Amino acid sequence: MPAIMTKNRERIIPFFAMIVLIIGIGSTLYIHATQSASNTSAEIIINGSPVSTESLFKELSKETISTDDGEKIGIPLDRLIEYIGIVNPDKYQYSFIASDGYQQTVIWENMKRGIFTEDYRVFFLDLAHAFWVRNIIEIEVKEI
Amino acid sequence: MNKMKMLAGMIVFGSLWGFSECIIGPLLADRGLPAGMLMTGLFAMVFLVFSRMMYQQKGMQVGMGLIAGSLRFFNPFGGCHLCSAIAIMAEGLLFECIWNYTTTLDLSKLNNLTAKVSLGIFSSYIVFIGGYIVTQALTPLISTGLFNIANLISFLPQIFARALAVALLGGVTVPITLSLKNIHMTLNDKYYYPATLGTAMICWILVLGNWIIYL
Repeated sequence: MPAIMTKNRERIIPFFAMIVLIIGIGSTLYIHATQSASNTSAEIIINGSPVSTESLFKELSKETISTDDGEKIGIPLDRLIEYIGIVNPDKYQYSFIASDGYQQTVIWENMKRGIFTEDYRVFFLDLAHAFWVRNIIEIEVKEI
Repeated sequence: MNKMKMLAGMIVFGSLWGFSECIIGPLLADRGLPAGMLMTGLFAMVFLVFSRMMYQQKGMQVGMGLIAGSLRFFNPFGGCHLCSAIAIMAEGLLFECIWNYTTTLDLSKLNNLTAKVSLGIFSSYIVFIGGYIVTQALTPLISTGLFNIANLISFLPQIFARALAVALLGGVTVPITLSLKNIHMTLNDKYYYPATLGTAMICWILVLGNWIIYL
């Protein structure tokens, strides 16, 4: 039994390979067509409204944090959220959306230990590197 | 095959896989190379296919994933250690499922080049995607207690696209590894156990030493 059955399955494998190649190529074309490689705008969208990053970095003081990847300088995220006028910030969760579609969501406790840098990236002291989202185009604020 | 021999083989190949994930992967990443892709498409595939060809035992690659994942858990670099460890274990499991379903244990009967290349493409692609999705799902869950399915869905096209290079690499790595079937390595028991377990021990000492230095 198994030899014949497996022989048949071996014949199916090229079709499976073809399918995954089509998915891979299709996805590559899709992301090239729909997503930019980096944030080239001087604005990011925070809670649905465009905010000039130049004014953010002019008006808010920066802080240095020490991560396992060296020292990073940026605006504390809690200060940024208060600056844009969010009341009761602990009642919300915050999603950082990158230009390539990558996104991560954190809570207020994490925001208090994170910074937003001039190269549109966030760093957190208490979270894994997966949360250090690059090329941020939007910070979404959602009620918990 | 003697179960003890298989167990020693599982430990040595799992340790080599774990060592490459913990030590070689970060070195490649530091040099700006796509470490994740190379780890799956090259290192993982070579160890998984070669061990399957050599030992011809079901369950061995799952065991290798468990050992490599355990070793990865002790590596202090690269964020969520538990998530990476579980992702490696998932990769071993996915490989085992795919190869159990599509091939016999005696890979010398697999003579068709198209089948070999296709198997490399398909298994590398699925193993990479599986590991990536497990990491993407577990990291937020373990770090913040939140898992937002929208975050994962919005990134799926990127994962599917990144896996393309891994699939193409696997399409080369797997047939080359399978062509090594003509190399006959025989070690008498007197040397087999010291050689396999000694190699595994060196891998563990290097990874744990790296961890202690980091602490």
